[in-house]
Amino acid sequence: MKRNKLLQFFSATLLAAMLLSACGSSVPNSSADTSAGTTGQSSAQEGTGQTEISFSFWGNQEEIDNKLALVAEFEKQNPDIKIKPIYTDGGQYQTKLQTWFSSGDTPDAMGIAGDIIYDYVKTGMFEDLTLRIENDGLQDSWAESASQNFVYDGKQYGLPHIYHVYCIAYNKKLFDEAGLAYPTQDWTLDDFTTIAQALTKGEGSEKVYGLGGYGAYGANEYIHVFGDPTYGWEDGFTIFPNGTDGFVKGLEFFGNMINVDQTTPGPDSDANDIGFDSGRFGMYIAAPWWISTWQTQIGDNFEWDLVTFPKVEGGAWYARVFPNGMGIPAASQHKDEAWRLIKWLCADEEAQAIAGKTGMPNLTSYATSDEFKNTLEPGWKPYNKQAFVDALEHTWMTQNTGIFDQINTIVYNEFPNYLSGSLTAEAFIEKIEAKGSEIAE
Amino acid sequence: MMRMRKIAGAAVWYLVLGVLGILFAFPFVWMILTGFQTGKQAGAYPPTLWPDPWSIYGYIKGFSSASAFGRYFLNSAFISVMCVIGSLFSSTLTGYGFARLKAPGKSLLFTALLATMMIPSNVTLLPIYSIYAKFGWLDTFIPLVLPSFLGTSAFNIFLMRQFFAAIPREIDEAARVDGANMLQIFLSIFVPNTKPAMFVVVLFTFVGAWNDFFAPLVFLTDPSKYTLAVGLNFFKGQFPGTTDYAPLMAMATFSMLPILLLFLFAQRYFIEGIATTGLKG
Amino acid sequence: MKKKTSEVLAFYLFISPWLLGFLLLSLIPMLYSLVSSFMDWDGIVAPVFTGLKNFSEMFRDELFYKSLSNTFYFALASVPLNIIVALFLAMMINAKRRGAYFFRSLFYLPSVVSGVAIYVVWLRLFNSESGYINYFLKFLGIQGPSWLKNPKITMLSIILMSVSFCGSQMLIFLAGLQDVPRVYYEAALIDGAGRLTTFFRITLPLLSPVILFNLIMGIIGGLQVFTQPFVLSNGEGTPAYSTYVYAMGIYKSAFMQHRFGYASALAWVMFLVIMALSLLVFASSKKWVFQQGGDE
Repeated sequence: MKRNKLLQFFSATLLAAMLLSACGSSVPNSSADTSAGTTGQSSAQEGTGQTEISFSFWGNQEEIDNKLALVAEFEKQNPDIKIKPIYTDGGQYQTKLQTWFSSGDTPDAMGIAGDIIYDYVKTGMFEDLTLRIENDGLQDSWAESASQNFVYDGKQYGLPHIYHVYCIAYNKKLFDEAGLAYPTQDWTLDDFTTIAQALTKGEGSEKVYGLGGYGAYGANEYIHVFGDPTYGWEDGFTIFPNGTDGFVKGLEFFGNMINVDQTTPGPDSDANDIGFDSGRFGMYIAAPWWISTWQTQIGDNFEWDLVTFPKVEGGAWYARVFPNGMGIPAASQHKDEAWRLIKWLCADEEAQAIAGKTGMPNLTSYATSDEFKNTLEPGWKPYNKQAFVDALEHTWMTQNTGIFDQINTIVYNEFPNYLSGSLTAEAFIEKIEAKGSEIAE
Repeated sequence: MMRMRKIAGAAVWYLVLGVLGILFAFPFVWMILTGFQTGKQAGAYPPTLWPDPWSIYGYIKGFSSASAFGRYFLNSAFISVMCVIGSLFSSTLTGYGFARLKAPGKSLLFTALLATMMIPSNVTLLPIYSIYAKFGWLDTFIPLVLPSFLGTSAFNIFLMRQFFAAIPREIDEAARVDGANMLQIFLSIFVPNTKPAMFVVVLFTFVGAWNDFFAPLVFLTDPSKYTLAVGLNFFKGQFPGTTDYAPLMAMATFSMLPILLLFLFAQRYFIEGIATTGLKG
Repeated sequence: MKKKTSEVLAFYLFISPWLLGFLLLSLIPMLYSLVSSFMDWDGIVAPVFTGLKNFSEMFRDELFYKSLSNTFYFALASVPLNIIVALFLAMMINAKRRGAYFFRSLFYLPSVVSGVAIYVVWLRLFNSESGYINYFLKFLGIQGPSWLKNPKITMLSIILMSVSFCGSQMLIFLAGLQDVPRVYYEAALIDGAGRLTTFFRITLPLLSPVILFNLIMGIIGGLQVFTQPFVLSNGEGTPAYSTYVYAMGIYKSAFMQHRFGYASALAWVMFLVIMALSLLVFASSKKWVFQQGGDE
């Protein structure tokens, strides 16, 4: 009796699901043969002369859809190559990387980020692309700083595809209410502090902050701000390669903003969950991934725009950059085809135009073109995209997620102690250095 | 007087359960409601409860993405059903062996069984991954289903074992006298009499397989084989503010429906089954 | 004699699927990882033997102890709490009243929707300014705390959230309760025993094997908790390390820092801890668990 009912139930659900899946668009390259071999396996199909290569990348749903659109376009233009896309969500990509490399079974082309590949480059897992770049004359296709993110030991292992970088977004309505002029590219750190103070008003759940957005990411944003990274990767691993002055300066500057001026929420404030779209922040740390949400959520509530970070005398306020690129694993069996794919993705203007929907395009010729400047998603209000391009002048990157993770844990968790006064800057530095020597072993 | 007592008793009962029920159900209800909000409302701050207007944007977006939640549903269904069959198979056989049969080394093996529950899965992942790689079973459903057939859920084995052990020995003695062998006793006496335990195994195994996202993520590479749990992650962005709430909640609600149905069906047999086993009282 | 050998054979035959699984998917991988714990290994290139270096680093690391204490805090607080709540609910639902069915489903369902979506919902609920929890507390005149940003409270918030997932334990208790022969209750009634006495003298002892079961499963699961603190702290263990649980350390070491040897060492230490704790509970169980009908 029970068996029948259970069976009925399951057949009903299966039927329903089949109908549903028929409604959904078909997933590209679903293999009918579920016991097919492993990822690296690509077959040359008989008669059509087609080579199949696998291509891995990560993203949320929008980014995935975007990459799949790129893949479809590439296949259209290159009928002799068939691409098998492999994707995960952002948080899990590193797990997959580890499993692929440990089993030696890697995709042919891979989306990579500047900071996740170094441990693999060190062990020869990635193909050196320098020669290919030279042969195809691509050396100047991207900004020097962008390419540098994929250079290790003088060799380039990845092509820049898109990037995200920080700028400041400002709420024009709040500026108007405070009688402040909108910031320009030449504004200074002092201007910034004054503006932040003038914008902050109110108390408790009504409070409007001068600046928001760093708090959510923790102290590591603050301390890198003045350019001295906590660790360097140039000649092997060094802790505080440029000294600790910038670190201390960053701590003091933001400690001041949080504790004294109270112009920005501290790391333990729930205001960090509030977005710029709520209208509670005069300025906010902007990244390209926010733009879509803001366009939808802000709508006509207030006007806003972007500006680069203020100028700092004798230095700069460094913006964090998230470089996304493309690389080829050394174990790939189809390097030439993979090269054609990644070359197209990173150096073709049409490809960059499509990719530009989910991040800032790296290809200089496209990024500086009028077409890009004037492109706007339907329903969006115009905004100063150029700020994201200009921001590339002074950037820092996490370089190596493995090491960054260990140091970040300390920075992230100890910063509240610094703020409350129970940890001095020197002691803070000591802790990081201790971790550094541990890592160096 | 008695009647007053009874009414008061009932009132208290409903009140306590009602309040607790609201507390338990609220997040869950909110999830369902958010699934029916428009994209803008779902992502707004502060978050709101009631959809205004009602929208199936979340459902449309969820089903129309390249990821095809319909296909994920089929994959999840297939894997979960196979896992249930596998668990029933392995846990009843093994549970019976431990409950009834004597053999040297049994206590050692039983301790080993319990010990397997204590193994942090993060660390056996890479070795297991290599083992499957060597067999060429990556990117198939085998790594997701095989463990159930090989009894990797010590919980289920333990459960069946407890229920089997509770059956009075007189019953199998009687059957043995009648000339039945081990297998016959197993199939005709033990299995039918432990339906409640089997339903627990079915339910828990199904839910576990349905919600598992780590194993499918690791062992599958072809996205068309992904399961619902993996697909859901795509709506939670890596960076704050990139979470698309409406489709996330909508697809989560959709993912939950089969379990809800399974539970509603199963629970009748689950609880009542025990009362009619004729074993106790 | 012949009968005995056939029984031994039958035993091994019956458990053969499990035995195969145990060897292939448990024993061998565990030995593999035990060996790696003595190595410096990124999971890819050839490992380098480093002896006890991983362990000495572990025991010198203040984060190791922090993660242990966080994990213990979680397990020791949430497990009894879950059991008490689950038992209470099971006893309530065991009544023959209309609506028992409905409540049974109601309390079970949240435990089934575990996953990213429901954690995101809780994230919004916990927001001290805009979340509904503090909103309702405001009605009662209480100023709600900062649930996820105050280091003293964050773990507590996670513990409270985990209680809403106790539905499956409740089901197991329900099964156990239904198992209690009604004659016992009737006899107690005749003897004039009050409800409390009945509970403590009859129900509880008869339920003790089930309680033991849930206790051990709870401890094992609780000490391995990962997803909830991970999602709620965005993978960092903030604030102030309060949500940095042991499993997070293992995950970070293995997949983010490429230190598979170190991760294996961590995992083995936890494995031994869990085993020791379970044995302790099991041994003590002889004192308070009512044995019935089992043969060992």
